[in-house]
Amino acid sequence: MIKKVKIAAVLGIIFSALFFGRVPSQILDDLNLASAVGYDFAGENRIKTTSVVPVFNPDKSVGNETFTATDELSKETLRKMNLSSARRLVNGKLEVALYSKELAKRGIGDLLDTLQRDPSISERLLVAVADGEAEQLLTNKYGDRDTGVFLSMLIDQNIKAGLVPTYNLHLFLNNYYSKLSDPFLPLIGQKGKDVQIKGIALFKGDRFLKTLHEDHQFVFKALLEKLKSANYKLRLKEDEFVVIENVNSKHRVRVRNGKHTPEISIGLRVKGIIREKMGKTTNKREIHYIKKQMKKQLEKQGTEMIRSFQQSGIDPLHLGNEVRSRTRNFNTKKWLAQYPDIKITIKVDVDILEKGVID
Amino acid sequence: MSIQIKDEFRVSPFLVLFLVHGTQYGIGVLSFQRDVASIVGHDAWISVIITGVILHLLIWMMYSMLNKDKGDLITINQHTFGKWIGNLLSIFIIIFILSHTITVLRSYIEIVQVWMFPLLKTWPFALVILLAVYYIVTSGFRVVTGVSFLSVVLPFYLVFTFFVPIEFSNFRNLLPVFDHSFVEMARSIKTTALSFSGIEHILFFYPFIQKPESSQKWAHYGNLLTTSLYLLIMVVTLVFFEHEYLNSVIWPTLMLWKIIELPIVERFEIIGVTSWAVVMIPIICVMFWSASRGIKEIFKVKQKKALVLLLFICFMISCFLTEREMIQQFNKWQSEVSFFILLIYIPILFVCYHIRYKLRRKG
Repeated sequence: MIKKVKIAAVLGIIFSALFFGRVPSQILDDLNLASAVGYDFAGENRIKTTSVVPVFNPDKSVGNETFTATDELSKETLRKMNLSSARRLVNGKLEVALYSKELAKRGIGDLLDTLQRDPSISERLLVAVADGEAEQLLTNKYGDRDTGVFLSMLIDQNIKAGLVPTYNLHLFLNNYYSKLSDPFLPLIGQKGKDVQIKGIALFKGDRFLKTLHEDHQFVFKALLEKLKSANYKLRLKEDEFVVIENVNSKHRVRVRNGKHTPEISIGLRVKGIIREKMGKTTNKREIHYIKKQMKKQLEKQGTEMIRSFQQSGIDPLHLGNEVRSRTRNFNTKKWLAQYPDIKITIKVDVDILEKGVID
Repeated sequence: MSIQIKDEFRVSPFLVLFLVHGTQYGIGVLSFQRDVASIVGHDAWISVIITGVILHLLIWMMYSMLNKDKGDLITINQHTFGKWIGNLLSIFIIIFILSHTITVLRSYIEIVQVWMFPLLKTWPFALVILLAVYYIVTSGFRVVTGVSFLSVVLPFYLVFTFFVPIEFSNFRNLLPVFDHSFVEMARSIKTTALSFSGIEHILFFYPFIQKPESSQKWAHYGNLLTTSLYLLIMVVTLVFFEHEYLNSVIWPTLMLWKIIELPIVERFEIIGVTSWAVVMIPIICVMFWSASRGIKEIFKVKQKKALVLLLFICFMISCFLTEREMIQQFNKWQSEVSFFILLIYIPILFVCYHIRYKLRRKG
């Protein structure tokens, strides 16, 4: 008798698990996996969302399909976009999220919420600011891939070998949440039919403030991380230039008197190889001159850049965190008040390792 | 008046390592960082070490009682406080263990619901897990031990995944060391109690160990393993997240996995959450075993009957906890009680027991 009850109980549990424990399945072929999403400003508190879905054609080429919808909330635009999609649109494979410049100027804090709250969005998502309309940028097709993958490869390539500092959604959010530092994002725009990285967009909190000066990009990346292989164009005379390649760099921050009025000195060490030079000769004297000029130019660019950061009250270089980590009982409010006026010096050491195969 | 268990039901002393570590390392590890860091910020790793050391002390206290008594929590309580008050205390502990199982089960189901299947119903999932628990616990203590052994060994590969986020970390976040007051440190230890609790089950399974005196070092090793894993996860979390960001993250450990990208798997945290089912099962098993064993001894009923009752209560309450806020509130209470049981009740019991023991010797 007891045995029968037991068997009945076990069967009952298995049946109820099979009947009630089911969740709707999502079959990959029946889904539209968005690879990029773009947000545009569409009136007060309204956004226009554009989603890009790759279409795999029978002839093995990859095309694009874009959906657009307008609403107050990002997830609601997703529902509206689904109204015109034959397969369900989901965002588990999102690679790039673009915000138009206009929207970024008004603040993207509320829009970031969906990217954080939704567990299906990767922490490696690349966020960027679109110069102009994000919709326009996403509906065009570039290269042989779909736009989402193309943009993510484009940004990735420029992080690895170019002048975009290492970042992803996680690092962006770290800077965004931190009271001590401010985030930055790459600025992507169209140039004719192509798309290109136009620079670095600097944020104050969640608002786009200004773009980083083109000349400052090198020193900006060098002060954030170790450069592995970057290019640097150096002006020797009015119309004489030289290109230093494979630049390695290291930087070190020193803080004095962190308790009261901090003084920050940054040491930057740069090593590189000469690859192209106007006015052929590269003798010992010339190399010495190049080193001196490079040091001067980098120090000037660095000081200018930091000065402009101080004037606008932003800190994308994490200098606040450097001071905090060296000061006991750090006072955030006091630091933020002091920041525009503290003394920050930058000292550069340059090494030219090789000069190619000719003298 | 010691408890004699037949030799064929006992387990080797070294398996205590897996029993202790297996019951400590579970649901708390997915979310303990935020509560600690909200009080002591970047010094949170220090309070993990301090808690680990305190727990070593508690293990020593428990063994010093058990080695003299040769019994378990129920007999110790009876010998210290007399039959009625002693049993009442034991019942409180059993209720605490029961609510702990609810915390673990419901928290895990919540994680599955939030991270993987939002539409999953609580009760069928709970029913299936509890069926497995019934099957394991009724098979005896040796099977429970075997399951906790497997649950430590099988998902051990997950340890390596905690090194991946270091790529995007800033070790400056840890400095300056010891920037918080002792009061804040002490308060933060309170929040870690739930994630470290689990050692109290030694008080129940002690008679089931061969040469139980020799198992003490394995219990310490188990706690050492737990502490070092918690320390690793805590340090990685602190360098990976800015302090203000960490305060808004509910499950920092799962967020650590979100940064991992494999060519074949886009979302590693799904593998993590699934593996966690293996990590979580033995905790529930050991707890149900302890609780039902306690009821058996106090009320002299069959362990199976006690177990069915406990499983039923656990199932009902788990199903009633439906909202995030309710679960969070329940976990908060559980953490307070854990702190009380571990850091207040056990030391008091230790002192009282030894006083009684001395008096009885003299008398």
